[in-house]
Amino acid sequence: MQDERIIDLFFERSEEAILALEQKYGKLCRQISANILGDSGAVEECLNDSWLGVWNVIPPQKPRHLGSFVCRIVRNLSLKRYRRDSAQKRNSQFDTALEELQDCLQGGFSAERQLEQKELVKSIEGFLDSLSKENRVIFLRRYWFSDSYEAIAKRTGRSEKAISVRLVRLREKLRTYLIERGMLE
Amino acid sequence: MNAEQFTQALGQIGEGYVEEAMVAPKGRPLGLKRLELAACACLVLLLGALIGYGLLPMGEAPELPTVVVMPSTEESEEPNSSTTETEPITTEPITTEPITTEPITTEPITTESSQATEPSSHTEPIPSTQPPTTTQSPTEPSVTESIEIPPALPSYPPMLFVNGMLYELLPGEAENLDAVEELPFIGTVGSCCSEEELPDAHLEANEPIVGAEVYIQGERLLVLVSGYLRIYVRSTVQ
Repeated sequence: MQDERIIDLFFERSEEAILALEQKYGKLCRQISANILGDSGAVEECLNDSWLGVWNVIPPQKPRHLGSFVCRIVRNLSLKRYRRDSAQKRNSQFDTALEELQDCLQGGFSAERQLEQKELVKSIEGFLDSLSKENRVIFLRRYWFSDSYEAIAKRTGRSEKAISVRLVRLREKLRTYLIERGMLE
Repeated sequence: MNAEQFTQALGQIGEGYVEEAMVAPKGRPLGLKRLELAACACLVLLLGALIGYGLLPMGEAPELPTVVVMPSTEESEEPNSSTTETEPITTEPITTEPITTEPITTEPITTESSQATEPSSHTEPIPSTQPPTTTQSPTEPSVTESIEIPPALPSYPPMLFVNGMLYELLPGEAENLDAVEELPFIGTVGSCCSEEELPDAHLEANEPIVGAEVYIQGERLLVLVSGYLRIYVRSTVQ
């Protein structure tokens, strides 16, 4: 079903909208949530919360890209759940990705600058714009979708080793980019 | 926390980026890529082998054993074979003829095209090489039996006589076609003699390359033959 039709169903307050949404984006959203939480029970709860969240915001919102809109909600709710369950043992893909970023962002944000979230988002978008499309996809698949190296390698048709090397370079580039803009010390 | 802060900010980037990463076309499986690479490598090796053994025309024939038709008393395919032990007949351009896989030194090389009108015979390598002569007609005899040739020098290498000087083909060398664009054009090869003779008239060659364009480049000649550029240098043979 087309995204426009699904959105129309939400506007009509038809429960079919949830079914159609799950049918079209359920697998992807489940994957995103599982990458962060790594626990199937929590993932299902998260997905249910996400469908409810979408139901509550559409209408009045009418997203241009329903897929990324839903994925963002799933990701945010999964991250929220992740933080809440911080005492639990972690071994998800997201933990690994987070550790990678932790190393990359070592030094912390500049103390002189109280970065606003919006400014940081803008910088990240600038960094993404400076990348080639393939590198951008690889970076986002790893740090937005929290995909494993194996999944990214499969998606891009490259070896896991190649993806690993590419990501190391991308993190170095990100670090340089943020340092140049005074966001990292 | 820094990483988490970053991750949180990353979650708020424009939908276009996420959409792009979502719908990015999946690459071909790595196994398929490797298979393609392997297939390409095989193809290159095959082509290399074909060119190396002179089965495909590629400018000058490299320094490969040139086939010399020697007298044969066995396995003659043609009933009218008239060669004898004392007659080293001719050299055959390897690149223009399909060759059977029998060992050269012990077995005769059989051909399907040019030997249709020539006697079959034994072969043996000689030091000189022979360029591809794709313009040579299969029916055109390259043997001049009436001329006696010293056994030590069964035939001359491809030569060209230009402006009173004899030039000899530089084996294994070829130039890019673009090289002739700025060179002075001398003319086209006007006549040819047999390869047992030395050409002695202006723009005469001892192989059938009549019409080939001749350019001069310093001390050497560049000759455009069948789309390939040969290099001729001053010959020491007189």
